[in-house]
Amino acid sequence: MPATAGKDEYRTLKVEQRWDAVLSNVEKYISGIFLGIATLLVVVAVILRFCFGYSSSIIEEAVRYLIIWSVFVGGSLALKNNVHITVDILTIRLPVRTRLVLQTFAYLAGIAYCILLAVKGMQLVHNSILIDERTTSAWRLPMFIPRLAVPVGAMLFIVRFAQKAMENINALRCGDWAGEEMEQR
Amino acid sequence: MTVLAIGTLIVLLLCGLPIAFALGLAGLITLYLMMGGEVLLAIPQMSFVSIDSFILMAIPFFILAAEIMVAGGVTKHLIHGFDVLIGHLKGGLAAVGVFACMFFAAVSGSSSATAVAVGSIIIPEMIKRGYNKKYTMGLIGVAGGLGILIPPSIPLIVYGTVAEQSVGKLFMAGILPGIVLSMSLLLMALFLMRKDKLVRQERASWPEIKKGLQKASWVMVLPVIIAGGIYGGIFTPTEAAAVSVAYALFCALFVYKGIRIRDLIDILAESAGKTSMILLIIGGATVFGYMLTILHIPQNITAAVLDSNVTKVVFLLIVNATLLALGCFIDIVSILLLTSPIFIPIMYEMGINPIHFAIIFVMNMELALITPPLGMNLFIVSGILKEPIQRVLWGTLPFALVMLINLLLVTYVPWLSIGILGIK
Repeated sequence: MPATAGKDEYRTLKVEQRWDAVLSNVEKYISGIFLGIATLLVVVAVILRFCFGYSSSIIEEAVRYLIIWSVFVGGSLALKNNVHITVDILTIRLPVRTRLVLQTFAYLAGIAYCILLAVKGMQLVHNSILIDERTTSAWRLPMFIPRLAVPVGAMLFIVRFAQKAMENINALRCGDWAGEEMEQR
Repeated sequence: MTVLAIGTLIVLLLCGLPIAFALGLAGLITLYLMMGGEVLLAIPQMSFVSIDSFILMAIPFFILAAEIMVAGGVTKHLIHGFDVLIGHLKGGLAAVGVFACMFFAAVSGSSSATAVAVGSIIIPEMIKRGYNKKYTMGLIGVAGGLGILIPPSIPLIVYGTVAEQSVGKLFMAGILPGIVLSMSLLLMALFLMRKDKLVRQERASWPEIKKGLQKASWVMVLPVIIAGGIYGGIFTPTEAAAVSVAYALFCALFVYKGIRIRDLIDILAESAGKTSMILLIIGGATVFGYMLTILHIPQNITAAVLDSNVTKVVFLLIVNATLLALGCFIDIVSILLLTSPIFIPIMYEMGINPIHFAIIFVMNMELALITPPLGMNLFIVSGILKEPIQRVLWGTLPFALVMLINLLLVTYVPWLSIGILGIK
């Protein structure tokens, strides 16, 4: 943000940040709680088998799908926090301006990929509903529920890539090279 | 087409797109150009199916267990337990560091987790007591790599899924090479640090030893539970992982009191993020790998290698060199998924045991962790002390040499890895 930013511009930024905080929190709770429940289910399955000789394919299925959801939702938060492994041999050696341009290109490419994942993923979900696809266990869960994780995750990734791209574009426009300075404002 | 595929991948990676997305996108573009729009529907399908496996679900649980132990201060007590026993000996703390890495490796499946958990405590302490800074950093950076060799191990879980091998057997095969490697690293450390002017350390008194061991014994049971449970056939690797989460949580909440219930959500979300990093790479690499198969690249390479009559010894040398080179640029899971369709058929054709091959692979990847530019453990260690990467790199060199010798040993003496399974 340039120092001369108008009041309105400041407001929009605030709203963005607020939405960002809400989104991050939702992602945090969904991915965290799903992982927690999955862990609990496996422990319960072990106890059930150990004490009562009872084993269930339903639990195994539930665990897989909980984790898949947790991965796609948590992946978005990880993207925001730069957890994903990135090859930075080139980018760290470039002048900041070039780096920002290249990275923005990379983020736009990421958006393109995720749009495709989201659209085609939705199509799969749609097909799955049409043919009433069910899971293989006794549970017979509609298969579209786990499948939905892919397009939902992809949409979240789009938001995060867009955020990152916007940050870079803003920095480029303002001629504000130092990332740390951006953080402080 | 091949050039286009690999070129796109390299451009995307260098621009800074995370590996998981770069692999998927490069695969997608090439597939689209080859086969048209119909193939696009297969992309989300592959991303889903490739991670929809109960064995892979061991990964989030092992990550979670490690996160809980680090946050709960479990490692601190573990290190203290070793310290009261042997810390006062000459070079004792170096041994404590190696043992702590071995131990942490035996409860977590990742090398970076091991290097962070043990390194952040032991490195400052070793320097405080007068150990050579450069070699301290090198030792822990390399010993952290044990995380993926000593079971449990995330790369071995992924390998088990890809190569259709029993994860339990793979885990078992990693034990002996892990112990041999740890001991040789320790010997090298003692040799390098023999002249360091150490701060004299009083031998701990009996009550101190008793107290320290009592505290540490809670967590020292965990590897026994994991290993015993898996090998005793009591539970699958995934179940063992979830049980170790429960146990680690119990220790962290009630024994060491390092975390409270409300910290849990942050730990869970962080683990979910780290899991997504690995599983999304599996998804992306599956797309890229599918594209390579359509292009007949693995098939052609396999045929070329088999036609050229290379011997087993030479082939293994080529494998090691290729993996080492790739390890400098991309991460472990991607390498595993991209090279296995090429190496696995050749391996079967040459009569190399797939489990032996897995251990060779993992040891190569340990070296990858300490070779720049993408050397995770170098970054971790340099982050702990705020030292430049170069200095850490020089410190790791002698230990990397030890590792290389161990790698060759394991490569050409299959007994070390698969002897325990009774396979000749």
